[in-house]
Amino acid sequence: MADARTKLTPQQKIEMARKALQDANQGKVNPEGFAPDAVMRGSLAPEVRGRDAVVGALKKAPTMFEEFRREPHAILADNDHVVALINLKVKSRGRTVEGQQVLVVHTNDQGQITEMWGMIEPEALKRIQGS
Amino acid sequence: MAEAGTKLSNAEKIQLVRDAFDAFKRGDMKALSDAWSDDFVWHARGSVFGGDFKGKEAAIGAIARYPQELEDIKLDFHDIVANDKHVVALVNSSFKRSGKTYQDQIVYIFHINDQGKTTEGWIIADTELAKNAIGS
Repeated sequence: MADARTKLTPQQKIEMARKALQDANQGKVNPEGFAPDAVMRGSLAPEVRGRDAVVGALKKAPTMFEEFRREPHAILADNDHVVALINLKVKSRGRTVEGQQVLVVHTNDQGQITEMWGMIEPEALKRIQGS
Repeated sequence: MAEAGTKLSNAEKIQLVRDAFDAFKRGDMKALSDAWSDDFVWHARGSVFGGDFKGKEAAIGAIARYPQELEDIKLDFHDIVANDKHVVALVNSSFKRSGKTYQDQIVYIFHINDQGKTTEGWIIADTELAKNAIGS
């Protein structure tokens, strides 16, 4: 993980993350929320580089399933990171999988996401990938 | 994850987690388990030695397997973040077994009670990557 600093307060970053997760549940992803060289990596998909590719991948994820919802259990932040503990619910072919996901985010001084890293608990990930 | 709250400051909770990791690194399993409540639960489904372990004895038994079965374990904090209910440690981890090396970024999540005891812990890592790396 690279280091990153931001002039936003941790509370501001938490509010931005909460709003972004709410929007994502409705299939909305704001490209301005990402730096041009944003990187996303995680358990569900290979590494994605660049704002357009990241936004595209985030928009695509919910369309791959009948239901794809992220409900924040808690969002924490400090000067370097925003960490979202998420209850994830995915429905595919009539089967529902629930599990925990952790999203770790770096933002720049403008509050744009420069790096996003997501992990899903392994058992849930297996069930999602097998669904 | 169940809810938990604490009256400790975030900085105090972060230090408790740092101290627990230090105890593990020097092999002091007593100091590590002393940091836990009696009903501590270790949710290690995201670990190479996976499962949910309830109670100090079960948890320490599971955690003691790491230094017994793995070599050159490194756990370096990238960052630790806390709020009133959680402490989250972002850790760069590596270990070896039979000459094979596993390297990854791991997330540890802890609940700490008002008495400064850790009541629950979760590890979220890329388990398949680890198992493939060490051939388990």
